[in-house]
Amino acid sequence: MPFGAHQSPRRRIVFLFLLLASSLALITAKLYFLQIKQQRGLAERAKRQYQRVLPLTGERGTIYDRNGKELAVSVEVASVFAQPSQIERPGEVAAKLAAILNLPVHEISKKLSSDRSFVWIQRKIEPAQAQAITALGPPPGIYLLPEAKRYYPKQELAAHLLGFVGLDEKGLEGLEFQYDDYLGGGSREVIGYQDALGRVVYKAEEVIPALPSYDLELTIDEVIQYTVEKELQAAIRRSRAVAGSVIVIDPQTGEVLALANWPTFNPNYFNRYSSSARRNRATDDTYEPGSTFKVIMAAAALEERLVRPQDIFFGENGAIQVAGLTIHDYYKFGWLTFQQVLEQSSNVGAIKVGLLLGKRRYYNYIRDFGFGSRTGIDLPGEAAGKVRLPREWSAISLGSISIGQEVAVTPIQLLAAVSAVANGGFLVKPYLVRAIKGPDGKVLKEFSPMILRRVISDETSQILTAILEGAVKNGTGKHAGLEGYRVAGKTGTSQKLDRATGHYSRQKVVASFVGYVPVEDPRLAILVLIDEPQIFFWGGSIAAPVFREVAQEALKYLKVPPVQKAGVQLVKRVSHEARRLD
Amino acid sequence: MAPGALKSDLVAQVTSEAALHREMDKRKRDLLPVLLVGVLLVAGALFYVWQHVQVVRLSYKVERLDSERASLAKRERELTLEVARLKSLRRVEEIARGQLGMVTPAPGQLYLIPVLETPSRPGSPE
Repeated sequence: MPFGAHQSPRRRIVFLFLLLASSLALITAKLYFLQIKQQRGLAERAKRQYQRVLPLTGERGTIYDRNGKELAVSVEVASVFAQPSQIERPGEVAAKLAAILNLPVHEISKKLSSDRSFVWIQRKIEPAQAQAITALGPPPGIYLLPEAKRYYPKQELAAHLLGFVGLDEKGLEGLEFQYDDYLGGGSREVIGYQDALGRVVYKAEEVIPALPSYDLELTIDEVIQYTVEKELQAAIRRSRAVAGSVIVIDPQTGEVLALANWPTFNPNYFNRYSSSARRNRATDDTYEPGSTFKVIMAAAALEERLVRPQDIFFGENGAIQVAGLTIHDYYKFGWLTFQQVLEQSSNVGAIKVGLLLGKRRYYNYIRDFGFGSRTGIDLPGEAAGKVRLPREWSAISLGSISIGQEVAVTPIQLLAAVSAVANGGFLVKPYLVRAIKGPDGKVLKEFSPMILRRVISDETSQILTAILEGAVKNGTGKHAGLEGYRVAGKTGTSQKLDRATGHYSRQKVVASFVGYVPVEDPRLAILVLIDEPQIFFWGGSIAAPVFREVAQEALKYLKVPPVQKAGVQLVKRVSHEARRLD
Repeated sequence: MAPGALKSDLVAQVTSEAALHREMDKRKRDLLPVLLVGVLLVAGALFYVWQHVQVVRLSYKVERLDSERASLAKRERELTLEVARLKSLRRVEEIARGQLGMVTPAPGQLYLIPVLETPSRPGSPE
């Protein structure tokens, strides 16, 4: 007999009511737990299931030279990703993509066959490749997303200054690293929604934006930078040297107009180059400056009024004993004036003047000129150099330091120091960024020249300039001479310390020239350094000509007029047409 | 039926018709504001819908223009990059020397002529 056959309808109704009521109560209780008690946790879980956040790279600010020429630009490009679950024939799709992206088929095929819901096929592809994929359809499960990519349109130009960025558009080296907080970029996020089948739809509009990005205006001049790089490369090739650096600064302000190193690299493909090629030798490497350091010794001696240009010293026929060690000159000099000591770069004469200065006094000048501490140039990784305390000096140290040995300096330090001689005695801080500007061109931050301290008097500066002008006219720096311009400078050929023997090498030298032009109102201070030249051994024969070529081009470009020859006067010629128009 | 009664019926009928007309006129007069309100409401509703349609239409237009602007900005950036690449001094020098046969002027071939201020014409603004 079926259940309830003898029961009255009323009882059945009551039974059904109770059944429904208890079911409803159960549902209500469950709903209470799901919707109220566990709401937060479950909502998060659901969000995680249907929402995906994809980190992409944002656009960085542009880096311009001092005349508004683009040196580093961010452009929107496409990145390809796949959702393997949606791809029906992975092999076929992989073959099509491989042909466009120049990637091995098996590599793409492996990615398309993976059980992951999302895989990058290739990020930041070229516009032509993106167009080709778009023209394909693209196949279901293959998608393109816009991302920013850094380009350096001038290729190797100013590579060591600009540095480069990683795949995430964060600065890794150079100014890109130094000013990363201002250049911005970094990551932005795109939100995607996933359906029950795991298909994700990304909408580029639904973006959590990256931080605002600012543009940099450099002190660098593209034209001078190009000239410097071209001449450096030619000199390296001529001398078969292993490396080299050239820096050009405005000695009055400390603005770096150009800075180049060899070997160099293309920042668009930075990972194809060795770390040695990417190293900014001009600021990160130290070397023994050799005879160019005699400028500092001379500045100290003149400032202390220990010598005058016409004072005479005996050249000891080219050899002097210092604490039992013989130091030679390249020529057996007899009597030389102090001016000639500098002009002919006599080691014997320099050592004698150094001995007059004494340890403590010389050390103080060396430090005042900025050696042994960073110049503060706005680049990462600058070296401080090495200047030992006088109490650590050996018996030979004073003599050695007088001729630029036993001190380690960076090229930028030496040029900043010589700039102080050029500008009347002020040590200025070299810098690379003139302004940080917003996208609307509004200036956020401006940098102006910074005088660190006075190191010598104006009088000493003038006397030393006359001596250094003589070094170019009559001395070792003849090849730096320019027709129509007065040039002051000093050559240097410093032997490198051979780590194997612990002695100075006879074959390995650093040939250099440091100087400024025009003498009457210096516009350019230039340092040329050629590391280990195989031919043209001397600073005067390999580095000085680079100075001349760079200075000649730069002065022409900057429209600095040459000193006019007597009897020649140039006047503006106004044509008859021009007169009529007036 | 007596003629008097017929007359009285007719009078009553005429009277009631007149009353009916009056009543109808009154009702019409009463209905007019309601009708006016109704017309205004419909007009308002139509205006609201039209406005909404316009907003949607303009939103689509704004979206299209936004996307066009973004696409043009992207193109402009790409062209800026291309111009910068083409203006690369190495490339310019290669073309100048290789294709156009140009050479760097020797130091003696270049004269910088100082520009002297020309005196202003009489009567011209200073």
